[in-house]
Amino acid sequence: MPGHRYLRPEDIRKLQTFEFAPRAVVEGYLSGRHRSRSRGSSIEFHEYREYSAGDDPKMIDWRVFARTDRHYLRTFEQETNLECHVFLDSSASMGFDGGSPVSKIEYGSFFAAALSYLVIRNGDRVSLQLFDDAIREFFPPGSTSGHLNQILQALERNEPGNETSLSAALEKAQPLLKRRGILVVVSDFFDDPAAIFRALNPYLHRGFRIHLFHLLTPGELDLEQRGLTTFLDMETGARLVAHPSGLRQRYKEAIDEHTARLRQLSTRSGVDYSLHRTDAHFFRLFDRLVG
Amino acid sequence: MSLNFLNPHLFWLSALVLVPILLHLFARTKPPVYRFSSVEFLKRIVKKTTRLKKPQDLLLLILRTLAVAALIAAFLQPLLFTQEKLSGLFQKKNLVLVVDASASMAYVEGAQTRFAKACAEAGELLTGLSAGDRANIVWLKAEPEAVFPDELASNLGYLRDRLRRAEVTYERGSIEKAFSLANELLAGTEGKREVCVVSDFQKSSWEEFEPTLPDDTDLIHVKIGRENAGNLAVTRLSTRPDRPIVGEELVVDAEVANFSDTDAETTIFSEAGENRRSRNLSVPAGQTATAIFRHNLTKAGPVRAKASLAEDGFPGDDQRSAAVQVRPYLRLAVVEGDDAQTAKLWTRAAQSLGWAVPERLDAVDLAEGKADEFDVVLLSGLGSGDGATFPESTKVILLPSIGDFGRTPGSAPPGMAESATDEPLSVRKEKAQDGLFTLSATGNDAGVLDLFRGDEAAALDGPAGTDRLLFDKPVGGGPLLVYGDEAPAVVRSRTNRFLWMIPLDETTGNFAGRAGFVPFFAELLLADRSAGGGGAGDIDYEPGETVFWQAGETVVDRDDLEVFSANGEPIEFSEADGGRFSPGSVASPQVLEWRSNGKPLGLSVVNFPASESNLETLSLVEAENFASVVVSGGGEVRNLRDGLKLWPWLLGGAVVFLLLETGVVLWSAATP
Repeated sequence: MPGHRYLRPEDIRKLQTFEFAPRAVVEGYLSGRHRSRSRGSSIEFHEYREYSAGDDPKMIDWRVFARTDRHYLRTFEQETNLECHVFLDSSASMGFDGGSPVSKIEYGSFFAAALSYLVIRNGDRVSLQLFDDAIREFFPPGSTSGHLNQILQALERNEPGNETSLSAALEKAQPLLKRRGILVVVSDFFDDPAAIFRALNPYLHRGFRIHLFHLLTPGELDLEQRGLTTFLDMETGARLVAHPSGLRQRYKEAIDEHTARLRQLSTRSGVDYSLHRTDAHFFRLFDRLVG
Repeated sequence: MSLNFLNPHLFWLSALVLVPILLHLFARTKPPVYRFSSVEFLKRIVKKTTRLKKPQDLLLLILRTLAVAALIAAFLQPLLFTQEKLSGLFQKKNLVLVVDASASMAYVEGAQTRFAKACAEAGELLTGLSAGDRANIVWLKAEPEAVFPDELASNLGYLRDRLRRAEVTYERGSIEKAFSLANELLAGTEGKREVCVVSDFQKSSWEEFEPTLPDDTDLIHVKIGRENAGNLAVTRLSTRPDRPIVGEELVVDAEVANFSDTDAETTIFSEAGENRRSRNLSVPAGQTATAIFRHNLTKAGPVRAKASLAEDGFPGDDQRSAAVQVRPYLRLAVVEGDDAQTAKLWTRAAQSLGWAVPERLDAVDLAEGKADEFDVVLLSGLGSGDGATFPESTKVILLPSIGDFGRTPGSAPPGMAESATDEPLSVRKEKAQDGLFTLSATGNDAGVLDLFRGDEAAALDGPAGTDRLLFDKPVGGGPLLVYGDEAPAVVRSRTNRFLWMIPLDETTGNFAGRAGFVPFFAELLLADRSAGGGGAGDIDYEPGETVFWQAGETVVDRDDLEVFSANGEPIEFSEADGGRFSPGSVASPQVLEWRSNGKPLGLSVVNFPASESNLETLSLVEAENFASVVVSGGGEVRNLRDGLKLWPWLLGGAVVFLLLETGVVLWSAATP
């Protein structure tokens, strides 16, 4: 694969030992694929197994019962294409690096690229949405290397845009996702937590497994020591003159309160939420995908 | 108070004080822009902290501005002159330094006397004068004198040399004369005029003083010494009787003053002739105590009575002396008037005493004043037309003549008798109608009748004679002996004046034959001998005063006379008016001995001035009441002269301000 900015050869080498599963990306090659209990035209016989209390009687193979006078269940196995939908926040605030070697959008792009590579390598399908207050680019699910190449090129083209409105982006993207799957949201979540989870509710009802990756730079988690400073909001352009030294503690408390709120709503909704510093390696985000 | 700058050409630097202000204002309006992901969280909390930040910013601005200002001011090298005087760096001036050389300046404080410190401070003031300035020094002592007698001079080196060689005196300072001399020296001078007094401002001398200086003359006081310096001093020494005779007991009263805040226990020593005594004495704080010593004098001639204390930090007043002229006998002058019998019996009685020598004088001698040389004058039968005047120290015993007593001035010894009215008195002789007049002693005797208390009274009480003398009107005074009808027989009119109303005639009475007559007569001769004054050598002089000595009853040839100082050195002297001799003024307390052909004749005592013993000085506040400037000694004069260098303080201030600024910044950072 030709060199891409967000999918470097060294990262690919490391990813060789990763496998993406519906519930997990595990280190090392593990047996098992994405299992589905849904039945369809592509159902293939798996095995017979003796009936046990609680099994659905509809599953009993009456032919075997006629032959053997025993209750056997005929189980089927269907290999489905997993769909992983990656939402990468591309708002202006994601362009902030805040003491980290890379900005949040670059950090998220590295992760999105690696995740897309893993998914496609496993033969599954991945979609990508770049959004700020609206969906800026959408790549529908695909599993080809060409699709991956498109995603990688899109990530490289991507620049921080307008104000964040994750909730609006989620609401607009819902019709675009035909099949349920894994929803991976990478954002700094500078939005109202309640609005975000209101927008996520439809996805939850449709059976999406949702992972929220909250990216913050060290400079956002802990304000830098500075003198009197004019803070320029990268999204709104608003200016605020303040002494960071005098605000650090209260700012930290405010950030903690915000993340705690996100975590609380996630727990309540069964959504996986994790906060990540951008000065740590992005591979650590894969830990959250362990089922 | 004024401020001068050594680097005024750097004043442009003061504009830099605006830098922190401008920086602060600039920083407030355009602080560096910091692109931040979202200021929503900051907005929520910044409202709460702004209220706290603004005072902190203001405090930081003030501290930084002060630090810069202090730093800039340090570069300008300011000199602070706390007084307007002596601060005119570019003015010509005329300065008279009045340096206190009085006795109190000899007090040792620390390692040096007040006077040495005063000379050092005066030297500092002279050093501060510029070329062309003129100065002079007036020594403040009993007779103030100037180094340059008539004018101010610019030879400041000579003045400094005189200050180095000057010595303190034992004299009382005459402040008025010193100021008068300073005024004279400054009169007619051109330029700024200043009188600078360098003194301890002893309270006893300066408290009531109000300087009189022309309006264009500035007065500066440089105060030396502490306000309170404890001191024990012998402040008074007196002897009784005034002119003792050989064998008589001399009583010495020595008064010790404690000029301190604490009670003192001390030992006081007394000497008189070959006698030495000592005793312990408690002197309460701020008060005096008197020690009484009794010495027996065995030899005639001049005797030095002395009282002394253990030496302290101010030794000049630890001793005091008095000259006592011990006489071999009492000289009596018997003047015979109308009553020859009484004169005769008085003479016989005196001769029987052994320590009294009577001499007969007549009316001519009396008119020539010869009676003044005697201790006691006995006037027998004198009255109108025979009056004479006598020194207060001469005792007069008068038996008046019959007739008008003569109250006309000059007709009788003054104060001998006073009638109850303004009418003249007259004297008459009265004979007893039956038997003899009887006498009795009274209690109002002024010590004369001490021998006749109790059973001894019988020696006087009883019949006296058939004749007596009577005034026609009541007379004042205190009767010692009275007749049976309370008429006065012997009256003490006043000190050293007695009226004798008992005619002594063996044919008419027997009072002279009574056992008590001679003792009574002797007591009468000795009474009141402590009062009065006069006589050779008994005048107390102070250092700086002109000492005189009068030979008194001894005839002295000028060529045979010598006077010696306390260490035995002969002193030059001259003959003064009134038969007196004078060695001039004596600088230090001592006893001068006058001799004729090697024989001691008398003493001249020069004692430490008692007023200088109280070392309490005026407080700065009190001194400011009459001086435009008061500066304590100890380096402040240098500041007065050169100005106080402020740059070290300013540098220190800048450092302090910066430290405070750092503290505020850290505190601000630590404050949530």
